[in-house]
Amino acid sequence: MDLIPTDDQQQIIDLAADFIINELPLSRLFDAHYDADKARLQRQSMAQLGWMGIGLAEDGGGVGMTVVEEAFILREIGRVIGPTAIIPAILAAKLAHEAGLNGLRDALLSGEGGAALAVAEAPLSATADGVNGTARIYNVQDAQAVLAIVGDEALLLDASAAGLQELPWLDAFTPVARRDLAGLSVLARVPAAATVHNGLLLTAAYLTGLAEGAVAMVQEYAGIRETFGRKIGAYQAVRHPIAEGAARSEHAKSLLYVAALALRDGRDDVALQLSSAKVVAHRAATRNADINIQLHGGIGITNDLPAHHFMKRALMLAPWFGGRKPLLDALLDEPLLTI
Amino acid sequence: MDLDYTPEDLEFRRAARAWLAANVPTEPRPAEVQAGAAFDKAWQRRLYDGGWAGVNWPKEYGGLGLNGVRTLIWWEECERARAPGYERFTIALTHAGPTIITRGTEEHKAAYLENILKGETIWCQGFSEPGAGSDLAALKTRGEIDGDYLVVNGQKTWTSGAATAEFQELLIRTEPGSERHKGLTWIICDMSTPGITVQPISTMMGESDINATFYDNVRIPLKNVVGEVGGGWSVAMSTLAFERGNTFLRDQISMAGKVERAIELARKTVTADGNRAIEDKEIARKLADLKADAMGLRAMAIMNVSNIDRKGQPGPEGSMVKLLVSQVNKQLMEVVADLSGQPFLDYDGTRHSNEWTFDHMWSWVLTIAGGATEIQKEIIADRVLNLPRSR
Ligand SMILES: Cc1cc2nc3c(=O)[nH]c(=O)nc-3n(C[C@H](O)[C@H](O)[C@H](O)COP(=O)(O)OP(=O)(O)OC[C@H]3O[C@@H](n4cnc5c(N)ncnc54)[C@H](O)[C@@H]3O)c2cc1C
Repeated sequence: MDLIPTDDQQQIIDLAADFIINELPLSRLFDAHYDADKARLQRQSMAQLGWMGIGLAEDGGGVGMTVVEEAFILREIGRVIGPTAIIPAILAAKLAHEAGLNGLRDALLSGEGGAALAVAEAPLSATADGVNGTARIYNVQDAQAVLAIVGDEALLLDASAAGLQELPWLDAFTPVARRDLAGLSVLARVPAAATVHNGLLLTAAYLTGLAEGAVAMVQEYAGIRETFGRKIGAYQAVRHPIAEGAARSEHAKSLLYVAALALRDGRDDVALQLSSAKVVAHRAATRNADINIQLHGGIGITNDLPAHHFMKRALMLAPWFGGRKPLLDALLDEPLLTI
Repeated sequence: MDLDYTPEDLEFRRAARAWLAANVPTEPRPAEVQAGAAFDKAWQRRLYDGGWAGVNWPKEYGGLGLNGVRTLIWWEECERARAPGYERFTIALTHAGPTIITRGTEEHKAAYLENILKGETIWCQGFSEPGAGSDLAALKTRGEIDGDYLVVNGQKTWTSGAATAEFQELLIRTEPGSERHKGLTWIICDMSTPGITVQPISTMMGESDINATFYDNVRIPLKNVVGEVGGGWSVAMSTLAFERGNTFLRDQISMAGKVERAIELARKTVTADGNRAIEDKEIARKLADLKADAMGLRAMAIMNVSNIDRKGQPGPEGSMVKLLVSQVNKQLMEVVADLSGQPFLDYDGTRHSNEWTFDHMWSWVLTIAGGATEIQKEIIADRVLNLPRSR
């Protein structure tokens, strides 16, 4: 029983943090707009580090590690509001491998193509040759496949002929489309549980990173900004919410680690741990995004600062792999693991 | 990184479970102060005789010397068996004993430690005063050296268990004219010394086990000083670190079980509209949210014991645990009050008449005693986040 990353794991975390400081500093978001070419290069450089296949077996072209290491990486990406496209890419690469779609798998692993995620607007239904119903489709850039969860199935749909039209969207750094999924041909279909669990973990990890990143940002500002002759961090109305934010981050992080291990080891209470982890991480990300904007004062609502992106990203991820209400309804009845 | 128990851990769990199943008292702890203390002494004695006293005390001082993981297992099993808590032995076992172990003389260790483990001596804590709670360094109770004695005059307050305690951790000002953290002394006070008056304070729970303690020329031998005369602040800081690090682990671990019992209550309770409380989506989702929180608290407990097993002592992160545990608990009690309706008010002034109602009121004790919520946030802001100082 041990929740501290091993030396090897810590090295993975440190390497990811290093890469991110150089390639994806928060400052990149100052008054910036979505740039398709940059996004493509980012995807490819992450793919070169092996991030799309960290948890995929080596014989499938992956790195051969586990979902725990995936969670470490996603947490680091979340801290800097990095691209969410890696979430469907990781999941779709595993599905493609499982279905023997080696071409698609390799394109995803190399970063040559991407995968998108369909999130239902209303209940979707699957037929013998496709999916009916309208969804928002996230991360459509260069998407070769669309991942959709329909009932108890996970499907990969062919995106190449989809004509995915980008929408104006609150989170400007995520290209999103909306369409009826009917007409997209099915590339692969498997039982959903493994993909949903993995997706919950990756989303919870990203949200935990957001929660931590938001606190780090406001913590720094509280030590610099002065009003009435004092640093604002000396005022309890400022420092106490930040202290609570730090406690929320720690809470979310501990639970994320337990959920990751539960998934890796196939423990009986994996569904309870994963649902709890996403609920807690989402709440932490939302509240910490709030204090980060509020305690920056006026500058917090401007494009000169990326504070608002934490809020927008937490909103966007809310329904991924199960929104708060369905997760709560499900976890209420989950038994506590008795040892 | 793993969630696995070693075969020895599992063996330990089996042994603890079997012993607890055979030994946990079936009768409830009496509400009356003296009878309650007698119950606690009998339970501690039973733990001692069974070889389970002082789970995280070092072996050389008669404890089991369990590491963090085993301590966690022990509390999980106690929770599962609904075993009595430390109750009046909280102070002796979680901070008075550990303070003596780390800061006391060999003579202190020989005189006090074993008697705690054997369930013979209850300790109380004489730190807070009417003018010094959060701001402990404002304390005024004074001690003057007279030969081999310190002569103490003044008043402490909120002294839990003073009426039944044999000994007290007493923090006093021994340098006339000294201010704040200087000139304080941490001394072991025998509560049977002439000149001590204990006055119960009546509380909203009805049950009253906190007191005002008055000192009128109380003569305490100088050999009872732990640390140096005038060096009491540093010893008191050790005591408070043990208090924060040790006291809340069981609350943290028991939260998941407590939420589950509240969910059970919601399934059974028929509300005024004729439906089960659990059918109310608002109540069901609040409970589910708190269940998720409780899973997070258990995860934090595992994180903390992993850290302790590496670094030895808990750090200032203990304040995050206390902050979250006491907040989650308060939210849970609000939901229980909401779903229970009028029967929640059935209460005769003792916890056994309505455990939930008692727990509801006790939720404020958890957010005030042992460093109030606001002070925990100060500690996190200062020591974890290094924010500019407010004071
Ligand atoms: C049931 C119970 C049992 C107790 N048992 C013991 C015991 O056995 N021995 C013992 O020595 N003490 C004991 N205490 C005392 C306890 O430690 C104090 O009550 C606590 O530290 C708060 O001090 P206070 O009551 O003087 O409140 P105050 O310090 O007067 O605080 C009043 C309010 O102001 C807030 N506040 C104070 N200072 C600050 C600040 N700097 N910034 C922001 N907010 C601030 C507090 O959080 C609180 O909300 C017990 C208390 C209770 C309730």
